[in-house]
Amino acid sequence: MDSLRWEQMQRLFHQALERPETKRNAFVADAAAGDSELATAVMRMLEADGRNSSLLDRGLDEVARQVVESSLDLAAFREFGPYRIQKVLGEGGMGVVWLAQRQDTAQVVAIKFLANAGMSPARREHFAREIKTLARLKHPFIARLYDAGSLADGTPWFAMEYVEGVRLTEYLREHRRSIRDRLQLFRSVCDAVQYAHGREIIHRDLKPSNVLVEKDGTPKLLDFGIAKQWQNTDEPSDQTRAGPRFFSRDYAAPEWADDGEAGFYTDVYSLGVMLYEVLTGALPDHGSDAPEKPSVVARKTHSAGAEKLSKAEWNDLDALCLKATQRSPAERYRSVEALLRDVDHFLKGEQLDAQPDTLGYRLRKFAARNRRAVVSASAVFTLVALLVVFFTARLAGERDRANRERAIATAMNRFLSDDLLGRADPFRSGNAGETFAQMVKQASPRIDLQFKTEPLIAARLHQTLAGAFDKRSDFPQARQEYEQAERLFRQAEGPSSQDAALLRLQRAAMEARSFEGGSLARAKSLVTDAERTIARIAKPKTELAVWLYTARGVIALSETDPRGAEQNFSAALRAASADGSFDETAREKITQLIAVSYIKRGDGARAEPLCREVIASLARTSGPGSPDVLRARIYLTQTLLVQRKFADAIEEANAIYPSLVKHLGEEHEAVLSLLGTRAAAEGSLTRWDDAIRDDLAVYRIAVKKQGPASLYSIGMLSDAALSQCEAGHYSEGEANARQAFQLSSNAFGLRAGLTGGVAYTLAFCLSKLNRLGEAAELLQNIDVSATAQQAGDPNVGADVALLQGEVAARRGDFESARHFADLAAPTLDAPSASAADKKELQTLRDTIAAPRR
Amino acid sequence: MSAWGNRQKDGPAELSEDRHTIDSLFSLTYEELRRFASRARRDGAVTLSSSGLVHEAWLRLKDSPRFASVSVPHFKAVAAKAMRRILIDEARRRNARKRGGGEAFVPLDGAAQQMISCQDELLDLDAALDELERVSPRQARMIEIRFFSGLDVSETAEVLGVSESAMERDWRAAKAWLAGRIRPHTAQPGTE
Repeated sequence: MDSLRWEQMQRLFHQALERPETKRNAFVADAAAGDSELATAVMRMLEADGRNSSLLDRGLDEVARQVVESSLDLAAFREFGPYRIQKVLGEGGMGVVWLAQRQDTAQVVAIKFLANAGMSPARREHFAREIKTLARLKHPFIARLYDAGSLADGTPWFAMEYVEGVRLTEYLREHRRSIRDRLQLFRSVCDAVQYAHGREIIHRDLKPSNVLVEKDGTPKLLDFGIAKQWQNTDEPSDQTRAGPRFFSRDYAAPEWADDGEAGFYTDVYSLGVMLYEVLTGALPDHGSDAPEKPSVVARKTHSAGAEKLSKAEWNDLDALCLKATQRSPAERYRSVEALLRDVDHFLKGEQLDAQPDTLGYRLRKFAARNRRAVVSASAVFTLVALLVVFFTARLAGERDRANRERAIATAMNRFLSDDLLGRADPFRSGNAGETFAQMVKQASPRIDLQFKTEPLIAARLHQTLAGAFDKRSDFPQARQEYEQAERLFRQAEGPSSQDAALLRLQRAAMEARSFEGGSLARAKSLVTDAERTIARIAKPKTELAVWLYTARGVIALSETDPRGAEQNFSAALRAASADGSFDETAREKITQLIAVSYIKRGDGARAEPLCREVIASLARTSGPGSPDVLRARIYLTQTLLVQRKFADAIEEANAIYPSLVKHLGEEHEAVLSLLGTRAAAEGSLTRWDDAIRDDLAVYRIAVKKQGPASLYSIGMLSDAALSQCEAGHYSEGEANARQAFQLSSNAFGLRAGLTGGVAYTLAFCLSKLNRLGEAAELLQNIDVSATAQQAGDPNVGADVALLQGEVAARRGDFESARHFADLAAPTLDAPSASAADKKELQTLRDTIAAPRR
Repeated sequence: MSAWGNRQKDGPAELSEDRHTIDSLFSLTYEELRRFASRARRDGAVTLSSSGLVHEAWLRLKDSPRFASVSVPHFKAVAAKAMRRILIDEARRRNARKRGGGEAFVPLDGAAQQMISCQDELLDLDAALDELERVSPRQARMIEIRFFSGLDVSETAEVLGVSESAMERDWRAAKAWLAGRIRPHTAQPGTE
């Protein structure tokens, strides 16, 4: 048939239809004029038209239903591989579960098939994810995965532990256990969920029908069909948002049911509803902001053993249950661990965390401001990392000594290839990065031997190494190399050596950035020395002037004097622009430093246009996707952060992240800075899980690059710990904070600013764990001025005092609490303090003044 | 004929019919289909309607940015393609199995003859539609849209940019021809 023939057929068909039914065939035969093939085809069409009963007329609905009838499909078959299928156990959105027996071992298993698997790659992926999830879960209270595979037609399946039991609620109804026994059972379920959370798996469909209880009372958690790996950000969000979500509304947290957002707290909610049911036999009023107290409902439903509990005990259970089922995740237990802790508190007769503190003081409200102090700390680290990038960048236009440079470069190359790299076997197994770092360390003493007669070359080599160590935040090594280079320059060029003075300024900048105890004082005296030397030099190089202002600027930044920093950086920019020795890129980098001063001043509104200007200019000179532009956009991200445009900051960070990784690799400082900034923004939005993910990612890379005891590694570990405590992962948070604290006090000393910041985090975690004595002791030992310097926030003292006051009040030491409130008062009563801060202080004062119970 | 061709290019072309779009629609349509099927089996009362399914899919997807600028009928036209693929793929797979394609499955009984007839008819229709497409892509598309996504006459006319009366005419002829190409398979085991 071709188009022409088809036109012919249709014409004849329509003409025939205009005639009475009985005369149509005759008409067609006649009109076809001997073309019997045409006549037959049209008559067939007419016949079909008259019958009107083909598939097309019956419609799709019946067909569709039959085609997707999956259990019918599987019921037609009974054996595959070693398994013999017995009966349907259940059917869910994703597949059908059958009871089966292995014929070789007689083991009874439950096998889940993905119905109609061939039809959608998305569904197959989903099913494969469920298998992967189950494979990672080995827990006595979770039904285990045994085997997986696919049938010849591609239908995937997996075999899991068959649980012969009844639903949790049914079990409780049948056995009428005491409240205490029921809580023990519930505790086991929480235990299983917490175990899954420890593997970063969120169940998302916890309900009594997914918890079967065996005869001996062992619960088994089932069905991870819609479970989610929380750090898996690659998963397209429409998979969970727009896609059908099969879950039970009664047990689903509002943020999940309504917005498709799920975190660990989503499972907390479902557990809370289950607990409500476990205690009362009834579900909480769905969607109500204030469901009836379990104690009241339990009386109405004559819940077994309800009358045996005292009023105080019921009070505790009410608080516990209602806290777990809060509609807002922020009001809920932040983790299953936190929920478990309170269940245990109850079982042991201890005071609950959920019970409003007897003093009426609300710890949770405190959290938001604490995070801010640390936010600025991590922002400092971020700035430091980027400053290093700038300071080790080569400046343009050193034309005057091109020839000598060339000779030095040749010698350096020789050293590098023969001595440094030549001695290392690049194919040696093990951690290549670490080997290289060690190699560099060993190379240093050989420089002086090799270049005994060429001190200038040796000096350059030491200078290069100094920069490398500086970049790794290995300050003791860097300091040594700077000093040695300076010594050699002075030896070769005399006491007025410009190179020596330059190195001294570079070292000063490093000291100012290192935040070690006494380092700021060292930095200042180095600058004073350099100034004296420069005064003796007849014609100082432009580079020297630029570095002098820059070093002063960095010191000012470290002293939390952003205004002074801005003035110095502006002077550096003027000097750099005065002659042609600095190219535009170098000048833009100084402009960035001015922007940093604004950021440190919290003046994001002024920093933002400056950053945008730098970005535009760099985009012109080196292309919009160049690393310099990307780096400048990191600063932009920070200007957004300090303007509290958190969502924008996250968006900008997400936008540049892929190109940044592409250009610089995943482990570059700039990438870490970006993640650190994003973590801060996420933390500020109380998106703790995201913040933890980023903090830990940065931490792991920092450890790999700089070792665990570097400033940056410790800082990020501390940030992660704080977020973990905010998120309710107290024991993880405490462990990390403690590790950071020990590393910091060993590496930098107890009085160092960094140690103070970490101690604050640890104290915060301990206060969450009710270990108030330890917390108080830690806080007492913080060197507030060093910590304020490091955090770049003069108000740190007030933060510390406030936490001290809160801890004291909770310990019942109201006299000390009043003392600390008074300490915090000058800062927080000042007009410049935020309303939230003032409120915190007021709460503390009210607590102190309140009559005691 | 050529006017129609243009229309298809210039008209509702915002929604690409790429693999990804089809697949996401497809997954969704499929889940709906199964949900309805199992509810129908359980309750017996719910009637499964393909237009209902497609509409449901639309409700779920309409807020996503990718579909923001797409009209409902046009969405349904794309969904029709997904639906066709779902059903044909499945019918083909079952057919392969029925012919003993592989797994050591032992049939319990001669279940679901009616279903088998259904799926054979579906495969015939698919082949015939392909054939029709070669001589009249417009009519093939029209059948696809009306049959597989349950669009009514006026909606189909809107998507295709033709008048309703012209469409009715085309529909009747194409349907009659296709029906003639579908072999009767009614519950006759062994006949082929």
